[in-house]
This record gives sequence, structure tokens and C-alpha cells, in this order.
Amino acid sequence: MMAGKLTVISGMSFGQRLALHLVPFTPKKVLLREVRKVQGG
Amino acid sequence: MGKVALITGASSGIGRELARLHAEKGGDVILVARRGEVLRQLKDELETAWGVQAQVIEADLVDEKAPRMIFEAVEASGWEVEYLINNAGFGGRGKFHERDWQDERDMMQVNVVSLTALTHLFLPQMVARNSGRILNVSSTASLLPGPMKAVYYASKAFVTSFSNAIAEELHDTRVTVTALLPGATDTEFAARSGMDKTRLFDNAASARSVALDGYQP
Repeated sequence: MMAGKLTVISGMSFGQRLALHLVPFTPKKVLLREVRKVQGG
Repeated sequence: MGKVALITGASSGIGRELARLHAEKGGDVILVARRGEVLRQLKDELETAWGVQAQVIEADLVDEKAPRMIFEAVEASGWEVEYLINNAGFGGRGKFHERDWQDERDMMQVNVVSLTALTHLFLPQMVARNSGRILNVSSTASLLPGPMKAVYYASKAFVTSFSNAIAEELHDTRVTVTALLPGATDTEFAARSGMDKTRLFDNAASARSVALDGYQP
């Protein structure tokens, strides 16, 4: 186990990691709509 | 005796792979899940392949008494848990107001309450020994709100926040707390939760690769 590491992100492509880093800069309503679509809603 | 890891949700997916990884490194394991027969097969596999010792505790973490029962069973065995791996969890998809309340409640019990209770039960011993590691399996879902899986995303937000917070509380000890945030992972859990039907799972990672990221000796 990674001693001392707070958070380990795993199983994501480069593109998905990049998208994740953009989350704080994405307007909330846009973000919610995109997540809803991805989740099949 | 090798260092002992207690792993919840050890009967499949990331939990089973974490158990295998720990055994491969010579560690003993306490396997916790609902499906006792599956756990006993895994126990036999690990003991035969790696010469380690394994215990099986059949428990359903939906039951609020389960964490205490698990703790007492470990105490009775005389084993000392060095690694606590809170992996058990499940999700569900649909509009919140249309989903079954009992399913949502059970999800919060397993993903949030039982994880927190097990941490509360085992952490004091680790602090007293000044040695131990906790790995809480969260999700990248913890980093944003999740329409269509509102309770699941919220439960994982709790896990990451809680893990990071207590990690800082333990800054002056040799006890560490890590939140593992898998993205889409190819597991039974995903299929059971109806998650594998979404395009998010088109390129899902294997449980083994996620476990390897979480387990770095």
C-alpha cells in the first residue's frame, strides 16, 4: 500500500484524467448535464 | 505470521485481487464478505499457492451489527490487523425519487456507515502500536456530483473526504490512510449495479490493475 499517499486515482485513460482535472473549471450545470448523459439519463 | 490484512468485499473484483496481492507478498488475510463458500475457495487458493494463513468471516455489511461482529471475531482469533482494506460497496442507477428507498439506505449503510464503523473499531489499535495502514476504496465518482447515481456518488464523496481528513489527524503517527479512486472497473459490482451498461464502461480497467495501483508495498 502506498504509505502516506492520500489519494490514488486508478484505471483511467489519459483523456479521462485530463477531463477530471478540468472539473473545477467547468461550469456546474455543464458538468451535471454531461455526467447525467454519461450515466444514461 | 505475516502482516495481516482485513479485506471487506473480498469475494470478487478489486477486493479479491487485493487479497491475492497481499498473499503473494506473504501476508496473512482475513476475508470478509457475504458469500462464505466463495471466500472459503479463495482461502484454500491463497493458503495453497502462497503458504499464508487466511480466515473467513461471513458478514453482510448492510447489517449495522456487522462491523462489531467482525471486530469481535478478529479479537477472538488473536490476530492483529495491520492493513484494513475497506473495499465493500455497491451502487445503483436511476432517478433518486424513483429508486427504492431500502436500496439507497443499504447503499449508505455499506458504503458509508460500515466503512466508518470498521475504521473506528480498528484504528485505535493501530495508533496505539504506531503502525498500520488503511486503504478505503472510493471512486473517481467522489470528485463530482452524479445525476442518475446521486446517492452512490455522494457516498463516495464521503469516503474520500473522510479518508483524507483522518489521514491528516494521524500526521504525527506511522498510521496512513489512503483513498483509492478507481475509474470504471470491470467487476461483478459494475454489472450488478447496472453500471456496465453506460458508455463510461466501454474501456473499463481490470480489477487486477486497479488493485495493483492501490497495493504498493
